[in-house]
Amino acid sequence: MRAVDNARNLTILDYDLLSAGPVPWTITTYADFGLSIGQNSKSRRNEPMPKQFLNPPQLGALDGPYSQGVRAGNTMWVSAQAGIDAAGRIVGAGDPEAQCRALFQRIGAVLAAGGATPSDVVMVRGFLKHRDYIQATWKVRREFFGAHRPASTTFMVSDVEPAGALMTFEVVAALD
Amino acid sequence: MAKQFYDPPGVFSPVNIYSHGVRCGRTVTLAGQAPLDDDGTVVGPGDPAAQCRRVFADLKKTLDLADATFADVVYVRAYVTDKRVLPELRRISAEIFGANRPAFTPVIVPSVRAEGALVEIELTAVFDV
Repeated sequence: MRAVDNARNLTILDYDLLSAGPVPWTITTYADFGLSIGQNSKSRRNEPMPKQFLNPPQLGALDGPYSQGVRAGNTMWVSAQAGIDAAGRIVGAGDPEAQCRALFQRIGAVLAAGGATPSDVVMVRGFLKHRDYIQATWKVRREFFGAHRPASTTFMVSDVEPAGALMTFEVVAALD
Repeated sequence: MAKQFYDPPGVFSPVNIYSHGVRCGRTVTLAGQAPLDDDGTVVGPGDPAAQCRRVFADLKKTLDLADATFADVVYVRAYVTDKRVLPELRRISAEIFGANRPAFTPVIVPSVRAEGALVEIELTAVFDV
C-alpha cells in the first residue's frame, strides 16, 4: 500500500494489498485512518529497513569483508562461529564440548548485539569435522536454547576453519 | 506477494529444475553458483581466483535481474573443496562487496556438484526499502 500525505489529506493510492481490491479513496486526517497504519503490518512494507552490521568487539576482528552478523528488518543472520577467543585462538583444543560452548557464547553475543536472544533463533546449522562430536553439541545446545526448539541441520564436513576448530555453527533468528 | 523467479540468459543451468534466484517480498535468495562457462564447463581448472571471479560475475547477472546489487547482500555461504581457496575468496569478496559487510559461512566439503569446481556460492539479499 502506498500512501501520500497531501497536507491534511491522506490519499491511499493502491488498495490492492489489502483484501478488497483496488479502491482508491481519500480520508481527511490520520486520526480518521485510525490505528490501522500501525496495526496492519502490510502498511509497513515499504518503510526503510537499513541493515545493521553486528560486530561485537569482544569477538575480535574478522578475516575478510564480513560481519559476525547482519540484521535486516526482523531477520538476523549470524556468521559461522568457531570456538575461538578474541585473539582468534582455539578455546578447548581437541575438546568438542568446550569448543561448542565457546562458539555458542559468541553466537549469543552476536544475537544480543542485534537485540535478539536464543529464543529468537529459527534455524541452526552445525558443520562438524566428525560425527563423534554430535552428543557434545546436543548437550551444549540444551544449555543454550533451554526449552526453545529451532529448526536444525547438522552436516559432517571435510574441514573447518580456523585450523584446530572441530566445528562451526551458524544461526538465523527472526524477531517477533 | 507473488514470488518472482530469475534465470539470466548468460548463466548456465545444468538442469532445468531450479531457478538461479527467487524474490519474495524484500528478500532475494540465490541458488548455489558454480564457476561454469556458457556451455557448462568449469572455468579456470585449479585456479581459485578465476573460479571465484566467474562465480561472482554470474551471481551479479542474477542480482541484476532482481534489481539487486552486492550492496543488498546480507548473507554469503561459500562451499569450497579446500580451505586454501578461502584467502582468495576473501580477497576478491573485498573488491566485490565494497563497504557492505554481509554475514559469511564457509563450508569445506569433499566436492561440489560441478566436477572440478573449487567453489560454489549462495547469497541472500534483502532490499532496504
